[in-house]
Amino acid sequence: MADIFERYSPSIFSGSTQQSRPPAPPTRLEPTDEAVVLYSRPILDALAQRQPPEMHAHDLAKELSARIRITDFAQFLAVIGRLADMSYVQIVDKDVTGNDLIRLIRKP
Amino acid sequence: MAYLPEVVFALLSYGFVSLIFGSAAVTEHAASAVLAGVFGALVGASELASRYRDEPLRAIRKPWGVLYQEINALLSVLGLLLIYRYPDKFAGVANDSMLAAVAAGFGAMVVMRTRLAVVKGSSGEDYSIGPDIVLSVLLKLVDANVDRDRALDRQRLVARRLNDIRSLGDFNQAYDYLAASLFAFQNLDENLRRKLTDIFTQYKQEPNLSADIKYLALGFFFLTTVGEKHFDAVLDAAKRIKATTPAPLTLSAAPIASVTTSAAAAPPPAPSAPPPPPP
Repeated sequence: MADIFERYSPSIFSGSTQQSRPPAPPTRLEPTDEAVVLYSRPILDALAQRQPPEMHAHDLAKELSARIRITDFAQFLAVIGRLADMSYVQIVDKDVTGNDLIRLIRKP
Repeated sequence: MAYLPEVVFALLSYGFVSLIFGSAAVTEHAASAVLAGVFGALVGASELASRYRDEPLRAIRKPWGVLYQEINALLSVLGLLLIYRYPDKFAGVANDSMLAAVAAGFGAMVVMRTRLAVVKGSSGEDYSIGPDIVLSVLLKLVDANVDRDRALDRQRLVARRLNDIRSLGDFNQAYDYLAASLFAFQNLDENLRRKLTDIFTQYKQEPNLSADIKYLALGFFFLTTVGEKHFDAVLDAAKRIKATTPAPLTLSAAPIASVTTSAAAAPPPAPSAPPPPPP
């Protein structure tokens, strides 16, 4: 019974002050994530140009080496990992040498 | 023309109101309708401003923000014309145009924000049942679009100044100069100082984060802290401090809380090797 009252709270009858809205949800990314998104634009663009929108990490790194500074492949994979955490890409196939198959899920 | 949809919406609203209540009624009560519309728009604007506390005016000026205010204004005008259409039902206010405008301007918002019930979803989120659902859905749309617009603005701003941030030196030096510039600009509260230290420590411990991402993150952090209006000024001041100071102020090596709030009052820089040229 208590659950029902909790689930259907008749705010107007109980005199609750729910008319005031909370601040906007924190949709803004953390500075690091914002930076990753901006830095990764060429990565996401390169994937978007493919049909299907997926590439292996080695090919992607080679293709982008002229456009973004890739000094260390581990750093490049870390960026891909962050993009996967933010649901921009999906690592479809893991490879022991790091040549993962990366698929674009959505663009920012 | 960025605001074309908003202009079209305003014209359509005028047509809609004239169609429902007759153009004669709209003309007759034009002054109170404008007043009620302004009150309604103000309520909408204050609601948006309270949701975007870091840059409230920008959110209000964005096309989707303007549209939200227009919808609030339209609801208020509709409320006002209802008062005049049924004067016996609103006897207390219908005879006074000023009072009617105030009642409609703010009253419509109270009605439109009423929740008859709130249903909790399976993941704990609230779903309104009542007129509030209209404005809630609209606010979500506004949030999404205002956020997208502002994110693009922020990206442009930081990308444009990336070379300037790089030119401050390596990550430690860039942080030091920017922090010194920030201290010169404003007195930072303890929370912000702590956050600055946390950010610095966090980035130092990220070996897999490329230098450019760290520079960009630094840019976004300072942009959030000082706002878009002062971002360029803080960066320019950091470059000036670098030009006039032979070595970094090494703020990153000391606890931030111990640093004075004025760059002028900062301790003399420790001798150290000149910073490497920008990459």
